[in-house]
Amino acid sequence: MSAGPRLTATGAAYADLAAHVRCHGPLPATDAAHIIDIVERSGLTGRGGAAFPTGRKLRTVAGNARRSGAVLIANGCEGEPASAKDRSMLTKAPHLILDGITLGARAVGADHAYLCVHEGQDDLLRMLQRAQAERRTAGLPDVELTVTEVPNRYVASEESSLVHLLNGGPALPLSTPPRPFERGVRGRPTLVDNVETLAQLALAVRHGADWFRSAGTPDAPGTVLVTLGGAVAAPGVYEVELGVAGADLLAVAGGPSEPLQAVLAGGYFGAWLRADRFAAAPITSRGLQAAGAAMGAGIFLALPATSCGLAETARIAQYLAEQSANQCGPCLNGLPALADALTVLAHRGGRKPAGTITALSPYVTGRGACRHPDGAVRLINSALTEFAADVRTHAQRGPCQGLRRAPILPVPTPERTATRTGGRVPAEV
Amino acid sequence: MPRRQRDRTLRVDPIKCEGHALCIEAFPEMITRDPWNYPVLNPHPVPDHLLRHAEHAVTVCPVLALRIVTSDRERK
Repeated sequence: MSAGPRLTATGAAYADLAAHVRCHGPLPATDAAHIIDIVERSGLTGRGGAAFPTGRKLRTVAGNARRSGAVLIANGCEGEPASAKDRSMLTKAPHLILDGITLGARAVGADHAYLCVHEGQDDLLRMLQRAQAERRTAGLPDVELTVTEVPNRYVASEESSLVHLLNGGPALPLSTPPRPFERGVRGRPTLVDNVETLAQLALAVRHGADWFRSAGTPDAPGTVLVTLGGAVAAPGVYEVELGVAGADLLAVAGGPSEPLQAVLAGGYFGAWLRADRFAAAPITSRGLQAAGAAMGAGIFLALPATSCGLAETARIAQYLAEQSANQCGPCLNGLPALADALTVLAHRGGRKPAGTITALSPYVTGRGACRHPDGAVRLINSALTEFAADVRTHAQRGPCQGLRRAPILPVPTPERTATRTGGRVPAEV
Repeated sequence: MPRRQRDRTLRVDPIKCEGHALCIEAFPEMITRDPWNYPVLNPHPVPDHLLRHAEHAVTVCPVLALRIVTSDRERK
């Protein structure tokens, strides 16, 4: 990378405040208007998955909050099972994130901020306490910050779920509108940003928009943290410039460890791309969308040529169905029906399952309170498209050789949770 | 002076909706059934002559999940 690492520039396993300031310089003493102006001109977009322009979000929340004051939520939950970049960033460079929280809060007029992480990470909590103590000792003008633990559930870290939790409810998505930026925690306009986004913001405000744009492309400036997994030589979290080609991205992790058939781009909220199409695709939100996938939270999982893409996707689909909040009928009923059809196609074959998926998908997309069902449908349909030859083989001759291989994509062990509305309804298709 | 037009559109709260499907019975012109008995709403504005049916569908929902949202736009 020409510009060198930014977020991970200290190179330390834990950059304490002294190391952080030596590397990045002190927390800038700037006002709200200046912060919003720099972030807008920098072209920074959200690194949590939606890729929304951060400057525009700051300006909107600041405008909505003029009378009431705002709240800031730094989302470090990393709900995607295959992602590791947020925890990596929180562990290695907590002060960059804490700087971003303070600057973001200043920009929108928030007097209180929450840093949300998934529960069960005691080591991370202790480390964050240490970082906060270092800042108190140094007398930094930080915003009041509460570190909040969030249940380990896929949809618990969706932005309206976090608002719901911080308002005293369960960590489940809310019906919108109002969106959090309109009315969120305690009824106040609430800025929800991924922790990497806030760290990027802290660098942009320090060094300016031109510096920020000196990496990446004009359309997609800056660097991004990615989690590279599956069949690559050295799986892990890496910082890369936006706009590199897919092939060069995999090379960062030592390249493929064996011949590939496809890459899952964007994690379990993304889509499959055939290996040749992925290799040529520019790693930007727009580039991956044009190819039919997504940047998501920067997760890229390489699938070996000898694996069964349908079976791998069926496992993920079952997991995503399990992870439904079971609040909305089309998600509660539709995701298990789709996952079951894909599982039958992968493990038994036949002509019917693919037809079932095609028939049910339109009844699921866009019909939940959150985007969870949309993401699951996109992933499942991308498997039917990108593994079309396998779909035909499974339909005509039954399961393929790929089923002999152990699955390689990470899926947490399912924890069944009680459904709110009782049993599912059998589909009439 | 551009003339204003008031659009009335059906909207369901997907979390509140439990698939009782009474709205589908009440207003089949613009509400159809999905494979699990949940309502699929026609996204277009409700024509004036069907407004009473739309209001009836809102009334029969036992969990108050269905609403009519109004928005103003300039008439072309």
